[in-house]
Amino acid sequence: MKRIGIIIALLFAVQLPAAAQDWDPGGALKKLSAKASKAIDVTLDQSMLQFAGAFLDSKDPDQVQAKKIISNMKGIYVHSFEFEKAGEYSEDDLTPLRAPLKEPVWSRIVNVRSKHDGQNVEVYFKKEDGKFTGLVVIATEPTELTFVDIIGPINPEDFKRLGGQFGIPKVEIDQDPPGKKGETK
Amino acid sequence: MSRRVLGLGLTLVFAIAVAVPCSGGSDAEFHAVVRTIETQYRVHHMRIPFLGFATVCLKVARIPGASGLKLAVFDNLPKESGISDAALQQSIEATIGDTWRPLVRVRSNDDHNLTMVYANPSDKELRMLVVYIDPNTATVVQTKLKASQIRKWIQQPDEVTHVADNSGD
Repeated sequence: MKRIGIIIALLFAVQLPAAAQDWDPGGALKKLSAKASKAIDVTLDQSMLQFAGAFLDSKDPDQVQAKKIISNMKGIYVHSFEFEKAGEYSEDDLTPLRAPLKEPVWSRIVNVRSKHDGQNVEVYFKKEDGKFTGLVVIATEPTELTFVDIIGPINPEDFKRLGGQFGIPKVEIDQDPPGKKGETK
Repeated sequence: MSRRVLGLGLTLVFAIAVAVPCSGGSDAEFHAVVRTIETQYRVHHMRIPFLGFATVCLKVARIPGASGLKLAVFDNLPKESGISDAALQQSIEATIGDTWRPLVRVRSNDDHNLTMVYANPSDKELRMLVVYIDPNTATVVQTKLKASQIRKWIQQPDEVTHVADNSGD
């Protein structure tokens, strides 16, 4: 139930458009939106994250952790699409979303397992000057697709903690953070 | 999971909107949005049906900290309005200004409906504006929630869930 409280806090703190990292996925998202039977956008910008953070309980370890994670974040943007049937979106639709996520700035974590059966999850971390500065998640199922764009300092541990909140897929990451040998592809 | 989370969020927004005290006063942005819809669709909003109003008021006392419900309902929207979702959204956002943050947007191609939720936070309260449009009707709801109530709900999420459940009574 504590998590629900945190979710509520953060749902009370949001904004919308697809203001992404340093590229604009808006065009690709618009195309997906046109194909989807339902499109859901959730946006939490910095001011709204701060607003939400003010309501988290400083005595509750979970909420303290959540507050710490969001305190330096610039934004969380979640775009979720539902499709009538499998095959209504294709790899071609995902290509423009993945295109900018290239090394050395971006690292994809391998061996990420979704806790949701049948869901394929790709997690990309952005690293600048040795620091994590952003994250992108692309979670796909035959009839669902979720694109999550987090701007700001977030490490893999933080990401795991945020899983299941704000529409961010819940995942297991089997190995060390990106940036070490053999961890990315 | 994402659908559950978003579903909870939307349920909460509507639960708050429906469960809030009916009070007077005016809010420029709410009226501006109503005027925008009236202009775009060339319709006038209806008087709140008595039954609907009574239903809203019956739920009021349960939610301390919430106030200032404003509700406008539009019926019989023109079939061929020619207004795109994007154009409408743009008009609304231009009307309400930057202090209102787009919070959630849900667009259904199947049912041809669009829900837009905006939030306007301040130190003491959170104002929320919900605009719902389908091929026949439009609804605009604005409400205020005291910060103390948000804090209480965060500490006692069961209460929120209870409110959300009751909203469907």
